[in-house]
Amino acid sequence: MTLTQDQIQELFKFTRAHYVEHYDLQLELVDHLANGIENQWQHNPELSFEQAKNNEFKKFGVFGFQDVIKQRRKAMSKRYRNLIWRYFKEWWSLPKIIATLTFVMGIFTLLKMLPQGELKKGIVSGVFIGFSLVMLFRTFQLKKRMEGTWRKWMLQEIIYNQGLLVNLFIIPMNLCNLKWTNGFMDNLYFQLALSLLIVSMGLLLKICGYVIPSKADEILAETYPEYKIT
Amino acid sequence: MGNSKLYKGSLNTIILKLLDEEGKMYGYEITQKVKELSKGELNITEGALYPALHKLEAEGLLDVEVAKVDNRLRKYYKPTEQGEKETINRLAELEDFIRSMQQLVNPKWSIQ
Repeated sequence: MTLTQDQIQELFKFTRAHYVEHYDLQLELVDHLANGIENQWQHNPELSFEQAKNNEFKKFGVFGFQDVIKQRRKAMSKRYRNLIWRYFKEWWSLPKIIATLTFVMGIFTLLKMLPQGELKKGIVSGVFIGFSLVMLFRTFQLKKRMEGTWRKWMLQEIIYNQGLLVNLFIIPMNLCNLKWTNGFMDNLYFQLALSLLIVSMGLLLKICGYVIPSKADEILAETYPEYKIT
Repeated sequence: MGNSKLYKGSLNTIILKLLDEEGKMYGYEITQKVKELSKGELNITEGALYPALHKLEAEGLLDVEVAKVDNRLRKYYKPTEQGEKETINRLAELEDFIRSMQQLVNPKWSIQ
């Protein structure tokens, strides 16, 4: 005895009602529940669909699907970090290396030329504020794009929701405002390190905010074989 | 003995070993196979199986494949090349562990 299409749809609704928002996970859990229900029917054909469904759900424990969702998010976040690393490595091809190093040297020269004081501090902080604003704007833009999709994929949500990176840009901004760093502002090594940090942050912004989201379709098809089927 | 904590640390190795033998399997099939092989002694809970599978997938040790079965899509897991190598390593580690445990709980005393 196999489940009907309506019962399968009912299982999709059931997973959504238990906070499984992403289609990739719903698909797997629906098949699991369906297999369990069919197995129960083999031993007890009189059992109702509802009862069999609840019996299967109980096997997930008192927290239901919560643990599976939590661990899935962890696994997908790891996958996302690997993606950042992959595109970071890809970035270092010859024309881009020259452009990036030119940027580092340009910023370094600018930092050397600027007089020590509030203006220099303000400009450096301004750069990081600028990065945060671009990231926030980009997150807003990407979130809007996701609203239009009727099927949510966990990795897609992680790719499109980059608001958390803003925190990363705020850390160096706060460092620049600390008293002890002010003394280093005229130090050549500190200026070089700051130039490298600004360019690295800019690169991170480019990869997370633009490169990876632009390849989202390709990445999702690579991650989820069901992406193209459904 | 059912869901003893003793099995927990070996869950990933059990999954890798099964997939290595069977080629590819889906979640429910894994739970049933483990139950069958252990004659009902070991029951992998759903709440532990999927997180383990997703972790192994994120580590690049498993690959996924989707097929339409009956009126739904089914996700199959299969070991990657890296996963096959890792299975050998983890099984060796597990065997070493079992040997060490046997020596600890059941030492063979000998007078030389």
